[in-house]
This record gives sequence, C-alpha cells and structure tokens, in this order.
Amino acid sequence: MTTYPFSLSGARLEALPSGGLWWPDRRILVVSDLHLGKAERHARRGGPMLPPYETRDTLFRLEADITRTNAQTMICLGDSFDDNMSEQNLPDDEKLWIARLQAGRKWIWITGNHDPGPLELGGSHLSELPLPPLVFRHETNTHSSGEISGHFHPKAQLSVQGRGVSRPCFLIDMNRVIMPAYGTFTGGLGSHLPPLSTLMRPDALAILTGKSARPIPMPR
Amino acid sequence: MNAGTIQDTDTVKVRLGKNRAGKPLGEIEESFAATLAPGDTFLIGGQIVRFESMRELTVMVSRAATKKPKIATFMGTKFATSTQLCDRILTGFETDAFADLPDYTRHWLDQQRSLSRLPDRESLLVETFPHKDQNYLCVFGFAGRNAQQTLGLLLTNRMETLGTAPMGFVATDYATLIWGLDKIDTPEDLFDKSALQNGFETWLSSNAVMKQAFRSVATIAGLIERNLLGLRKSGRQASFSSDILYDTLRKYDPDHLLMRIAQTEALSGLVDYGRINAMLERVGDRIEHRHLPHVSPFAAPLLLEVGRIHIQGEGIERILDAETKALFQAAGLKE
Repeated sequence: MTTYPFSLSGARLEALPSGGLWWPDRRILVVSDLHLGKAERHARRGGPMLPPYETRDTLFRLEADITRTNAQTMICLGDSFDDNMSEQNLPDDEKLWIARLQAGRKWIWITGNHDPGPLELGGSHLSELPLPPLVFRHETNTHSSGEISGHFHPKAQLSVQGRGVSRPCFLIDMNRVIMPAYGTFTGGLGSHLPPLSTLMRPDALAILTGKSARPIPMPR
Repeated sequence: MNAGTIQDTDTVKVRLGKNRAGKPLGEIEESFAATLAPGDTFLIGGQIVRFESMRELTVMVSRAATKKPKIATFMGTKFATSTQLCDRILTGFETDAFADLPDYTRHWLDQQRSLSRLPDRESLLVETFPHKDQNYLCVFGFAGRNAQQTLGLLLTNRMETLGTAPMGFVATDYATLIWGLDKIDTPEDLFDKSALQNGFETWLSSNAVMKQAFRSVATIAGLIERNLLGLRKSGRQASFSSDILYDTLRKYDPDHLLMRIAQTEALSGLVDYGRINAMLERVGDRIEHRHLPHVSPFAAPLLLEVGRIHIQGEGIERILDAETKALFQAAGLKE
C-alpha cells in the first residue's frame, strides 16, 4: 500500500490510497465529500431504499486513516452530509462515533453546497480555510493557486486489456488539487468531461485510489 | 410494481449515423453487441452495417457493403446440454464415431488430435497455452454449461488463493476457459477435490456470479433502476452501482432478504455442482495436461464466446500497477 507524495506551492503533501490527503508537516488530514446520511436522505425523499450502512463504512475507513496518520487536525472539505437534515437524522451511535474521532484533535467542517448551514456536531465551521501557502475550500474558484478543493468527485476511466476500469482519483496540477469523494455510495465525474477537463492544466496528473495511490497523466 | 417479473434479455438499439439522433434500424441483444469491435459488419433491417461505436445503450453503425457480415444472434435463455448427450460425444471420440462428419469437422478433430489430444470419458483433458500476453487454461469437462460455469468459479477462486492472479473465465457446455497473469505449470494441483469442496460456501458470497444474481434481484425489488443509463438523467435522479450495494450488504447485513434471494437465484443456476462431482469421480486423478504453444482447435471457440466473467482480484490490481506505470513513463514524467 503506497502513498503518492507531491508538493503544491511548496507544501509537501501525500495522496493516500483511501482518498484522503495528508500534510505531514502540519499533521493535517483532509477528506472531501463524505455525503454521510445519503441512504437516509434518499429514503426520506421517496427514492431507492439503499442499505443504510454507508455512514458506518465511511467512518470505518476514516478512523483507519486517522489512526494510521495520527492526525492532529481533520479538515472535511464540504458535502460532509447529504443535506441539512441528514446530520440531524444520523443515528446516535454514529454521532457518538464522530464525536469520538473528534476527541483530542482539531476538526474543521468546510461548508459545501449540500450542507450549507451550521452543524450540530462539534468542530469549527468555515466556508474556506486559508493556511498559507495553501487554501482549503469546497468548490474551486478557478483563479486561486495553492488550492485544495472537492465537490466534483473526480474519476479516472481507463481501458485496461479490453476491460474498463474506473476509480475515484485526485486531480493534481501546479495550481490546485481536486479531491476524490471519500464517502461510500458517492458516484463520480469522469476527468475527461467538462468542467474537469477544462479546469485542470494540460500536464495535470490523476492519482488513482484503491490498493495503492497510482499516478497517471489525467485521462482526457 | 416489478414483483414477479421475468426479466427480458437486455437489448440495445441500433442507429445509423454519428449520434443518437440517427435513424433507428432495430434492436440486437446486448450479448451480441458485446462481441462487436469497430469495423465488424452485421446484418440488420435488411442491410449490412458496420459497427462504429457503442455509447450507453445505443450501437452506432454506418452503411457498409461487405460480403460476409455477422448474423445477429438472439439467444434468449440457454439450457445446459444433457448428461447423455455429453456422454455420447465423449464415447464418440474414443470410438472414432465422427468419421461421417463433413471434411472441415474431421479436419478440426484431426488437428486437435495432433496438437493436443481428444478428450475421453476416463480422464480430464486440461490444456494450457499463452495467448496475447496472458496465460490460458482450458478444462474440457463436458459437464454442461451450468456445471462448467461453477467449475470456473471454483477454479478461479482456488487460483486467487494460490496467488496466480486469474483475470476471468468463460464457460460453454463442454469446457471452461480461464485466463490469468501467471502460467499454471501443474494444473493437477487445482483439482484437489476436498479443497474445491471446502471453498464452496465461502467464495459463493464474494464472487462475480453472485453479484450478477444480486443485480437482477435488486432491479426487481426496485432498489436500482434498469435502463437508467440509456435515458437522460433528470436533475434529481441518481444511479447506483449494484456491486457497491452488494458489498455493503455483504459486510453489514449478510442475512438480508435480498441477499438470501440472490443466493438462491445464483445457486439454482449453479445447481449442477452434482455434475462436477460426478465428473471428478469419473476421472479420479487422471488429469491429462497438455501445454501447447498456442490455442488448440477445441479451445478456440471459447475465445469468442460471450458471457465472460471478470474476476476482481489481485489480477486487475497487478495490471493496473503495470498499466499506470507505463502511462506515467510514456508521458515522460518523473516520479
């Protein structure tokens, strides 16, 4: 299981194969687009009755990443909950689980488009977080540099020996990182499609998640 | 309500032209469309067309005037060959009962005999050969399609455990063809009867055929929409991968009703485990292994057979590793 180290605006970062981003010098772990409570939201709106275990599955993986890195600060880069009510309707044991993960570390929720309002759970809530030389926000504002954002759920689609393979991926160029969606049941947007294909520079890389963090030139 | 639905075989639309607004010519089965490569021609709606591309559930074609188009097959449901017919064929090989068949068939049998050997009732013919960067293993069990499919699952599971990285398999009435990354030098090791039997329950829950059974069960239950991919998505619709739903239920709620139904469905298609047992009893430890420099006449039809089951395991990870490294280096990038 290997990570992919790179630098953005001089900051040394590591893309983890799970889809999280690790900043070892500041002990910061970043994840994006958790979409907790998606099954509950779909059921509430009369949509398909998905197995209601995605929150548990996501928190399981998040806990593993937190433990492995021993992160001191956690940044959740927006769309952490599928909508406002998802957060309230989260079962108590899952709320407690989050509280347990928050204990002893700094926890920052960046507000996204699905969950714009202030949240019940602990931690600080910000619309964006500048930590020079980097800035963290949910959706890119297209003209910043040193920016880490999410929102698009990027996916890389490859054809490998006649088989199609699609994996969530980080998109990286010298200006920005677009994070993969970390949550279970989150879909994705192919990197070859706009706006991702036009947003990223021609020399952008896609880092595939999975067993190892694997870099490839971003598929267009 | 979808309850009690018999699912129609998946068909895809055929359109003449460059985009989905092209003139519709008709429909073909998805399994036939899957065999087409750009440039292949086939007959539909009274004309010969060339396959250009397939997007979502539409096949785009252009007019072509070739002499030998493929003929679209509409397979519907397939039933497995009977044990008696399989027996007769195997006996026929031994007694050379096929002398009356047309020249090209006899030639095919002769070629098989000289390159490899003809299968017989007393032993199990297993061929291995390289083909296009992968290593192939073909087991001529003559046990009927359902049993050969089950055998494919059992063997690939064993291969995965032994670390030989199987990539996929396909089964017909008379053989199972497995392809993978590693060469198998001693296939006899794969046929250890107790090892095969022990693994039955465990792998059933994680394999690709179970996931296929779950997909149709989940569609009938209304959990996922069929054909959603072919329609324009409205703002609020979302399609979910049945594989992810299956994995989630397997981890957190394996006794869920849908899982039990899917297992029953998968098992009813795999009920011919009895025929595999019978085959293994019949051959005992008489495994006839032939390692060949290329595909044999008997194995060749399986290379074209539809219904490939892809294995998600170490194989695809290894290939991804190699492929991503190659892409990276090809772009002239440094680590």
